[in-house]
Amino acid sequence: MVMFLTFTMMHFSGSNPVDIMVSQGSSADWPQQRIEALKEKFGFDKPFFEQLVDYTNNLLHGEFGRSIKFNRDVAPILETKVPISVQLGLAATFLVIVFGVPLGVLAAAAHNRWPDTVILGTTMTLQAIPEFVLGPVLTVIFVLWLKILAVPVGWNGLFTQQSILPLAVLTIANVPIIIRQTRASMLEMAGSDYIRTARTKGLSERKILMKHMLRPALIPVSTTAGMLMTSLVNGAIFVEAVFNIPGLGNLTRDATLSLDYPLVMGVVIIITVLVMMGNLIVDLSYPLIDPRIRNR
Amino acid sequence: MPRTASLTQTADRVKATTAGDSDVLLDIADLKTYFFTENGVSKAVDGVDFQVHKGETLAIVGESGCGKSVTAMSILQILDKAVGRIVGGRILLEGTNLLELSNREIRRVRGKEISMIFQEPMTSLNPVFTVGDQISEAILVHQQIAKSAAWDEAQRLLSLVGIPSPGRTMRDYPHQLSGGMRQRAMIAMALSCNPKLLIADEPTTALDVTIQAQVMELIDSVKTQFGMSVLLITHDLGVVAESADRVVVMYAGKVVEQGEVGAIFENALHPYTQGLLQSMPRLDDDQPIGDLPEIAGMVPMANDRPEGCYFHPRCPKAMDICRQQMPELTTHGETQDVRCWLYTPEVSNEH
Repeated sequence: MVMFLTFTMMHFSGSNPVDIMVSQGSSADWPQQRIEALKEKFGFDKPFFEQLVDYTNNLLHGEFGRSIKFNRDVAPILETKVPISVQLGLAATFLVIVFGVPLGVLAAAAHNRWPDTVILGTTMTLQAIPEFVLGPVLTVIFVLWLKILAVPVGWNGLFTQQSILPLAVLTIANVPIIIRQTRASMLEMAGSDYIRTARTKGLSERKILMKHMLRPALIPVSTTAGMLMTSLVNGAIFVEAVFNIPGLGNLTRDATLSLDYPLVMGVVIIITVLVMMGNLIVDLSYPLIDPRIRNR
Repeated sequence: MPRTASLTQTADRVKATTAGDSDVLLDIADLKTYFFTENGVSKAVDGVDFQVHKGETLAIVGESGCGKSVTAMSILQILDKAVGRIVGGRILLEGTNLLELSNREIRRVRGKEISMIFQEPMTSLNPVFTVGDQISEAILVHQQIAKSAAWDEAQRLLSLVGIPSPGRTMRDYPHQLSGGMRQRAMIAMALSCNPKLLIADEPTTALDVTIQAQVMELIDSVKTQFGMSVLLITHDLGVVAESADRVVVMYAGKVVEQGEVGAIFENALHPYTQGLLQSMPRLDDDQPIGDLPEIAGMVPMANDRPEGCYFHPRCPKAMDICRQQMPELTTHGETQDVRCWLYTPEVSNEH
């Protein structure tokens, strides 16, 4: 379905990669004959339906086709980019949860007192700064002023110095979402009947907070964290652009700008697969947190 | 091990009760609990006095908003501190003023000396923990015993409150139980540390009629078994007649009448109590049941009460003085107290 829509939209966008290549190069010199030959090679001269059938057929045989821009097969390109974005995204999600949930709990515990105000205020401020501003600002602070980090460019693996700043940006930009969700659902639990029961039993406020409020509060938090994970794994276009990380985000941008049919299709399909896997993981994790969803 | 321990504790308590140096378990005097909201101060509980004797069931009755639940929550101090505060009075539990205890000390009273069950069995248990986990947790808060011992004790309590297969129910989550079963589990939890007083806040209101009777029977039987007192909060006069020894009638944050159940049902003095009783269908009457009389009007809002007696706008027998001055609670006969000008000698002579 996703494939069909993307393919159709691209086909009827009124342009094709060969025309773009031609218009970008010293186009005037290109003989019409050569253009026609190129179009024929990539199959653009065929009718729409035939192109669609060809593509689907290839895809079912594991063939993503050949990128026009890079003049390479799409599959190996995806193979190098996908792990980078997946690692970056999962690591960022992990950090967001590790920092976000405790801060949210802290804010809820100190509801309407200064820690709550400070956390909420900082959160709102950070959320207002776009990633493409935060990235350069952090780079200036840590690389130029404090000189703690080297200039972060490219990708050498997750546990290297280069990944610190991109991860920091992704974490800071997304942690407010989890903080606020955790705080809101904790506060919602605070007024519930079973918290009153827990208090009536003689439990300490700490136990009530960390056990009876936190566990049920994690149910909505896990939904939000799941959506966050999916979007982070699919490549952070701005962060990858700022730090020149060769991940899915950069690839998506390149492919779309050059209308590289096979590459765009490859990216879209791989993202669809990642989204579905992410949703599956989230769905499978629900019963672990909420016993009401388990089979009885 | 926990079984024998709890049994001897119960036996000791029964002995202490029969020895009876003092008959009063809970003594509430001039309790005032106000709510501070944006619309002003709500005097939800406005100078309430009553006593709970050892081994008795005391019922507090009244319409919604009369302050009966707030009174109960004030005893355990589980009100939302941001809005509801106890501003005056004292609550003595066997001589100790609960209002002077530190947070840590009042926590030792909650669940151990005084337990409470609520109107909403559907939502009163935490949905993400098993029933067994929640009951044994209540035991572990107050007793230094092994987790496995607490689990066994919890299972024993479940079978004691009449749950058919306690072993399985222990591992069930609250949503797997019916409303009646959940209320039984709540009662088991409340009994877990042999409390001296069980506060039951409308324990049967949310249940089916057939289950209501079963739950009230259960409360009566555990009361005798554990030698405790019960403070029953309800608006159901049928339940009162069935289970209570004495009744406190509340209206607009004040006690308007109190006494033995028999005396109140046969000879209610306060016009409000009379109205409550008349609005209850009677099966022993020979006349066919027509329209039931009702008390006209509404309970005044807690931040907008009339001058004088709070009940006078709805009272069929209101006099001039009722519009000017709040009457005091005065004693009539052996055990009956009433707050009404009709029974104040000088005033009633004039009319």
